[in-house]
Amino acid sequence: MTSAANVYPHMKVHLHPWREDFRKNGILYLLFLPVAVFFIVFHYIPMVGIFMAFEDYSYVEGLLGSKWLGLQNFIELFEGDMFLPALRNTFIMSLFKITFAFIAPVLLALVVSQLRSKRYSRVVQTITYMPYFVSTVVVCSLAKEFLGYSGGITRLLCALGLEQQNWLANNRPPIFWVIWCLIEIWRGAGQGSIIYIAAIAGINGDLHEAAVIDGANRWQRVWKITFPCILPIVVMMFTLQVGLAFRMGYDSILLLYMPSTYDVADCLHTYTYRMAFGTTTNYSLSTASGLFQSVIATTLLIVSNTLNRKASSLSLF
Amino acid sequence: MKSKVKYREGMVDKPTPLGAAADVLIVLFTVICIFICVIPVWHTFMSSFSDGLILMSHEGVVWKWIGRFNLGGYKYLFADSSIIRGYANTLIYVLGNIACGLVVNVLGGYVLSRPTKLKGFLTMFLMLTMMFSGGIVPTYMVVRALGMTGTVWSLIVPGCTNAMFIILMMNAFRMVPESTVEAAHLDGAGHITVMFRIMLPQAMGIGMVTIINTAIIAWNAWFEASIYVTGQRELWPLQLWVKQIVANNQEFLNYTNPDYDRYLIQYAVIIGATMPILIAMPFFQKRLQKGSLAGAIKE
Repeated sequence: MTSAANVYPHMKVHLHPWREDFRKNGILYLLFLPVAVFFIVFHYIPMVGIFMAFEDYSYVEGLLGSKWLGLQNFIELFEGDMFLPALRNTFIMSLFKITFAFIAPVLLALVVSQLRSKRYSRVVQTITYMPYFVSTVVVCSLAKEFLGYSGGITRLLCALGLEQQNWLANNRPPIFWVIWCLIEIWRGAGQGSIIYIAAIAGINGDLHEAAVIDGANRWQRVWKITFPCILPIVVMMFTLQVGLAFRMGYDSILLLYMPSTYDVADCLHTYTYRMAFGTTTNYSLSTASGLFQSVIATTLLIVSNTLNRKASSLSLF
Repeated sequence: MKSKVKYREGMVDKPTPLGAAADVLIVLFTVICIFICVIPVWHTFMSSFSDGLILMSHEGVVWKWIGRFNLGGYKYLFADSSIIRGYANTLIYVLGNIACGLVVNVLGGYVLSRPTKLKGFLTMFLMLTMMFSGGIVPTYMVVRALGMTGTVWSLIVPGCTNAMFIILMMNAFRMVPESTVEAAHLDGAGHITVMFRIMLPQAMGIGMVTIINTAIIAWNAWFEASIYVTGQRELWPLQLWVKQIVANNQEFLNYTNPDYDRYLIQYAVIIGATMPILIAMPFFQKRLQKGSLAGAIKE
């Protein structure tokens, strides 16, 4: 407010707009410096580190000194017999995540909105929200406990006529994916339903009233009023989920899988992890795999965001 | 108006047998949901008070403690100095992440909320980090090159915030009425004063959302610790101990005269690592619901 341009308006003509901006906001840019340093160091420099994917990286030689290999790491990656299963599993599990794990919170919200007692509905919301606060390590320990040879869920499945076994050690195709998806639902459904419940609570009551007067029953009202009203938010959340599907929730696999289930459980994230921090370390190969995963994730995010902007005029960016 | 209130109580519908059946089904469904959410934690809670030897051969869910009521698992847990150390470490990491994150979030959010010429560029600068990441290996390399691996800092600084939190904070600052900021500037307040004493108190609703999320992430984090401080057990957070104890819990059976209370420690440690956050949850829930819907999405 006290800058020259405000005190002497005619001086504005003489000052270059950028110079004027720096004069006025220089302190602000200085305040941003720590933030910029943080993001450059922990986000942008690692992006430069991606060049490791194209060279035979050795710690001694450093990033600039290591031998340049071009695309050879990627060829090695694709030819490795662990990579293609990992890629397939990542796609399948992402698909499970954006279908079943996405629908669950919507359904939960619709059911909760139909409860007659408001107090009970709040109880349901709080208790289904609770698993979100339980840590990944604990969730996976609980899963091992319940799906193990003498676990609660195993007992239940035995009562239904299935063979008693450690379900997490079973490497027949859909089993691990279903388990992982159910765990994701257990953790996330309550938390995910909050936004839909809020949207349903915001629907104008007149719509329902008019429908009742016209003779609509409850089922019809849910599908003809409630659902269409929250549809824009559902679409928005869906595109958001598509964008994030390749990024989050995979550290649980590190805790759940075992060598005997690598065929079905291994995904790009765990593959990258094992290549870097497992028994055989190959930083270059791991970075290549990480880069591959990052490129798919970014593509998905951009596509979903573009769709989102078209669909709802809301976007993440 | 009256009828609207009545609708919300669900009184508009004529009571029909089919409607009643639907109500029963809906309530039943939610009861099952509650059951599924609570049982795993309940099972662990009850197991932690059971008799170790009988529990080992028990099959299925533990509805009520088995054998005599037994606190042996907790005795083992709290006698273990490394677990206590784990608690202390987790606490340090949570507080460190909150403090570090708050500074970055507030500084970033404040600057982005001001009308500067570089605002668009700086926002894009942050947004890019959400769209693309170098991956775990290059990030690990940077943290190692900074000499942070094997120290407390590797678990406090790199993960203390992300672009999303700063954007959230920016939106919060934008909602602060400009008149209060101008008045403060006229009274001679500098940027720091305005940021912390004028704007932050008004933006604290969303500020709390970022703080709580940071706290939850830090409390539950294990992966970063498993790669950054692998060898330094004295720096392990609680969650890594939970992982370790659950994975290696059968080892005590190799002793000649095993104390079966030792088996209970895996249940006790899960309860010990989960209860604090579940107790804090009602407090968190209220603030998260209030704040997260307000500033999450940019139009």
